[in-house]
Order: sequence, then C-alpha cells, then structure tokens
Amino acid sequence: MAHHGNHKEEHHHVTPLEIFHKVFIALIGLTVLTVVTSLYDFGMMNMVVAMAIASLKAALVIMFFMQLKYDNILNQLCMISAILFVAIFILITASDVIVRDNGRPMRIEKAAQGGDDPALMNKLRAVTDDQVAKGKVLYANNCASCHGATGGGDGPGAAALNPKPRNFLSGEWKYGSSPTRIFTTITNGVKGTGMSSYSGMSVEERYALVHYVRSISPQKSDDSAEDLKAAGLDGDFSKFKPKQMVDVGIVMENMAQVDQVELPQDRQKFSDHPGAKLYAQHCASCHGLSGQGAKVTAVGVNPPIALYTTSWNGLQAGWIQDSSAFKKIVSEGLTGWGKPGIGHFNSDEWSQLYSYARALSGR
Amino acid sequence: MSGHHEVHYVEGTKHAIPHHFNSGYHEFDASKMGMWVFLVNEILLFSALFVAYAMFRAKDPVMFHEASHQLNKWMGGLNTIVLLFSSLTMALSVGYLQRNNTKRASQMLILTFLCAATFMVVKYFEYSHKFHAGLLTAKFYTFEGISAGHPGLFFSLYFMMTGLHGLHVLIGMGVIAWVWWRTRRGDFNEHYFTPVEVTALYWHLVDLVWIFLFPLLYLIG
Ligand code: HEC
Ligand code: HEC
Repeated sequence: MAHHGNHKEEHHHVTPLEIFHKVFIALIGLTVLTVVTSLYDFGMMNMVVAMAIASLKAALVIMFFMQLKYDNILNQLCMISAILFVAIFILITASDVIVRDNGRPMRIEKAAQGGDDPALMNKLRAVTDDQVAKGKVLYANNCASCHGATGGGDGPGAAALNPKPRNFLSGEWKYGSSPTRIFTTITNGVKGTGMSSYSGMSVEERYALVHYVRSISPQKSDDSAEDLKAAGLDGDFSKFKPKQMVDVGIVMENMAQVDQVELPQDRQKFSDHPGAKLYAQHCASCHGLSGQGAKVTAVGVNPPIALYTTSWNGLQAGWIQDSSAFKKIVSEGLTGWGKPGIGHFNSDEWSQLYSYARALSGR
Repeated sequence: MSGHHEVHYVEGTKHAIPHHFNSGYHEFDASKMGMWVFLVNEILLFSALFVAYAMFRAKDPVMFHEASHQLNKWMGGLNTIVLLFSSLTMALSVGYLQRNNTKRASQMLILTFLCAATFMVVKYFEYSHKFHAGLLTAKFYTFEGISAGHPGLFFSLYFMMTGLHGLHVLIGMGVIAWVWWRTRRGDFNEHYFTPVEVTALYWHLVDLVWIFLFPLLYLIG
C-alpha cells in the first residue's frame, strides 16, 4: 500500500444518487417548459427565452451529471474557457447582423406573382352577360378616368397623356381586339404610356373588363389560333403551377443584398430637403432615388419576383393633393402590387415624406 | 499485495498503475483532465456550426421560422427526453460503480445503450421523411411548401448539425458497449472506474449539444 500513502486526502467524490434523480426531473420539467413557451410568441424574446432555458439545462448537466461542481479548478477552467470562446465567436461574428435594423416594414403584405391559370383563362374567354355587367362596374372605377365614362378616350386624365388613351368607340385597336389579346394588354400594360399593368386584378376581373370593353366597341375579332398560342392557351394546362404568394418583407430584405435595381439616374434630387433622407432609406429601393420609378428584381427569392414602379414626375394621382390618401397608401401598401405597408413614422416624418414626394412629382 | 518489482495494481482490480503516476487517483485525475480537454475541442468543433446558424438565422428569420415548421417537434421532444434519460442512467452507472454495485452499474449501461439506439431510430424516421419530402439542400431541395427565402440553407445546417451529433451518438454507443463489457468482466470497482467515468463525460456532452439543437432547430416561434 506504499503508493497509497496519502489515501485519506485522495478520494473520489461520491454524489448521492437522489441528486441524479432530482436533476433528471428538473431537466424534464425544463424541456416541457421550452416546448410550452415555444407555442407562445414573445417576438424578439422567443430566442432569448429558449436559450435561457437551454443554458439552465446545460448548467445542470455540467454541474451535476458531469460533476464539474466538485471537480478540480483546472477542469473547471477548461469548460469555462470553452463556453467563453463560443460566446465570443457567436456574438462578435453575428454582432452586426443581430443589431442591424434592416428597415423591415411594420406590416408585411403578400404580393401575388406567377402566371395566370390557363385553364381558368380558357373558361372565361367566352363572353357572358354577367361578365359584361361586372366589367362595367370595374371599368367605371378603374379605367374611366382615362378612357372616358362612355369609352370615348376622353376621361379627365386623358388630357395630359401622350399617346392618348384608346377610344373604344372608334373600333381601332393597336394591340389586337380578340379577348385574349385585350386580356394580355390589360395584364401587361403598355410600357412607356399611361396604360399600366393591371396584373394585380384577378383573372375573373380582367376578363370581365375584356368583355365589357369589347361590348362597347363596334369592331372586334375572335381569338385566333395564334392569339391562343401567344397566351399559352394551346397546350396542356396540367403543368401549370398556381400563383404563389411571396412575402414582400423578404423581397425587401433580399433587395438590400444581391438584387439588381435599375435606377436610371443616380443622384438624388432635392437632397437637401428634410424628407430626402427618409425617402432614400425607405422608398428609394423601389421608387428610384428621385421617384423616377424602377424595375426591381429580387433574385434572392424563390421564385424570383420583379416589381415595377412608375415615375412620380408629372404624375396625376389623388395622393398628390391629399396627404391622408398618401399616408393610407404608404402605411397600408397596395395589395397585389407588391407594395409593402411601411408605417413606422412619426407625424413630423410623415409630413417631411409627403412634402418630399410632392416635390418629386413636380408640385 | 501490490505485486512484485515496481508494478502496482489498483486495489481489488487487475489494473496496473503506469509507473509515471503516483497513485490510481493521480492517474484518474490525469485521464479525466485529458477528457475535459477533448470535450473543449468538441465544443469548439460544434461552435463553428452554431456561428453559421446565428448568421443565417439573423439574416433570414422568416425563412428559419417557416422551415422549422417542417420538423416534427414531438419527435424532437421525444428524442430530448430519451437523451436526458440516458444521461441519468450513465451518471447512475458511475454512481453504482462507486458503491461497488457492478450489477446495477452494468444494467444502467445497457439502458444507456438502448436509449442511444432509440434516439437513432427516431432520427432515422425523421431523416427518411425529409428525404422523401425533398427537404434537402442545393438542387435536391424540391419541397414546395415554403415560400420564404432559401429554405435549402436551413436544411443544409440541419443535416450538418444533427448529422455530426448523430455520429457522436453512434461513436458513444460503441464506447458504452465496450465499457459495459468490461464492467461485466469485473474490471471496475470503487477504486478504479476511469474508463466509465470518461465515457460518461463524453456522453453528457452529446446530451449537452442536443439540449441546444432541439430549441434552435425544432422550436423556432
Ligand atoms: C392612366 C390612364 C389610363 C388608365 C387608368 C387606363 N388606361 Fe388603358 N390605355 C391608356 C393609354 C394612354 C393607352 C394607349 C396606349 C397606346 O396607345 O400604346 C391605353 C390603351 C389601352 C388598351 C389598348 C387598346 C389597343 O389599342 O389595343 C386597352 C385594351 C386598355 N387601355 C384597357 C384599359 C382598361 C380595361 C383599363 C381599366 C382597368 C384601363 N385601360 C385603364 C391609359 C389608361
Ligand atoms: C418594396 C418596394 C416598395 C417600397 C420600399 C415602397 N414602395 Fe411605394 N409602391 C411600390 C409599388 C410596387 C407601387 C405600385 C406601382 C406604382 O404605382 O408605381 C407603389 C406605389 C406607391 C405610391 C402610389 C403611386 C401612384 O402611382 O399613385 C406611393 C404614393 C408610394 N408608393 C409611396 C411610397 C413611399 C413614400 C415609400 C417609402 C416610405 C414607398 N412607397 C416604398 C413599391 C414600394
């Protein structure tokens, strides 16, 4: 026993077995607690709560199962330094990304994107009285301002436009008069003219408009085989993928990273204006640095999405005269256009933004 | 009783104390410290993945939220309980050896092994569901139910993190089987149980990693 000379001082720490049982019960309790808390939403605190509980569990395992509480100081230092380093790695590497205010809108709209259902289009191509009646109402609300109440191309908005809005009573058509051609015109709009895209309307609504517009025109043709082919209505509809809803919050987030923003002009107008900075921060990514409009392609989302915005310069729109309309559009967004609601401004900021947007429109 | 020449055995066992140690306790402390240093390495190995996780989650919280819904939190929860229980039985097996109760100790080791096997079976079911649903990474990600961001990123992390952890479970099963066999053979008693002790430390670490993986992967929001 010579080598056990100082046996009295050397001994293994023996933990009472009940302690193991108690620790196990505590660990199960904490596991149940994490699962239960995960069912509630504490916003930003979700992660903090979950990590706090996990750390408590880890501490129990380390102290009692691994018995570090009774171990020598060297082993304790080993573990403490490991934990310290993990914390340093995570906190410093992710520090920027964690605290960054990436300007997420308060409300997240869903933007529809993807093709129209060809089977549905095929069905709605045929005119019904019902559709014409429905189209009449839609026309009065959305199109009469330019194309005129009776379709004569003489609405109040027409004066400022070049080319002029179509006079549907003339029987002349630039882009085709068959139902599917008109549908395509309404869906895509005519680039570089006052005729914008109405793809945000449902297929039903757009075909209702088609049939109404045709009903007032003295001259129109039926869908030819080429028309159908051009719209993809000639083949097999079974491969069609339904419209997907894309989270605009994500679009915007991704836009800050890799996307292509086509901005025709790279210097901000009126950059001394008190609203200029707010605008550059929250609006320029979609509307262009000076409200000149942009095509924004978010390649960071799957499926990819593109947003178009029109120029505000010389724009005729209700919000230019009406600050509450402006506030409503901006804070609520425009469903179906991919325009998110951005509403986290105080009243000073609202008026600065509004006055800046008006300045950009030329007012 | 401690042998002839310079060879000393730990009391009641066939374990010869290497001559560079003063005593069996000295050897025990050194082995344990070796294990702790190894565990520090293990923690730093996993930390690389936790850093990647923190970065990607902070960049696309909405995608992580949606992708996490594709994991089955009840299976994850079951596995958590199974691993916690196996940590208990592992700790108890050391406790019983310290009390010279070899029979109970080897029963506890069998239970630990069975828990580890259960964990792997549950993981197998989870993985095969993901393979079938196309919840994978890169071009193998073919699932269509998540609209936000790049969910393939979540699943590449998921497979790397749980895969590395699962590998640790498999290795643990091998080591636990080995110390069980030696316990049965009567190699250990209250004075000498170093291999079981260091296996236990390793096994608790495997449990520890899972304690963080479970909420981070399965319980987002
Ligand atoms: C802001 C004014 C404006 C509004 C509102 C408007 N349009 Fe137009 N629209 C135009 C202009 C301008 C053109 C002429 C484009 C051209 O000549 O290239 C046009 C052309 C068209 C054409 C093309 C006709 C052809 O020659 O092939 C159709 C169809 C049409 N609009 C339908 C509609 C419908 C339906 C609505 C309502 C949903 C609508 N428009 C709303 C300005 C407008
Ligand atoms: C994610 C892209 C996006 C952002 C960011 C954005 N918008 Fe828009 N906005 C749109 C889209 C898309 C439309 C509809 C298309 C159009 O009219 O140009 C629109 C339309 C508008 C309109 C109506 C324009 C019209 O033609 O009558 C106003 C006003 C407007 N936005 C103001 C703002 C302001 C102010 C901000 C910043 C606080 C902002 N938007 C930020 C995408 C965006």
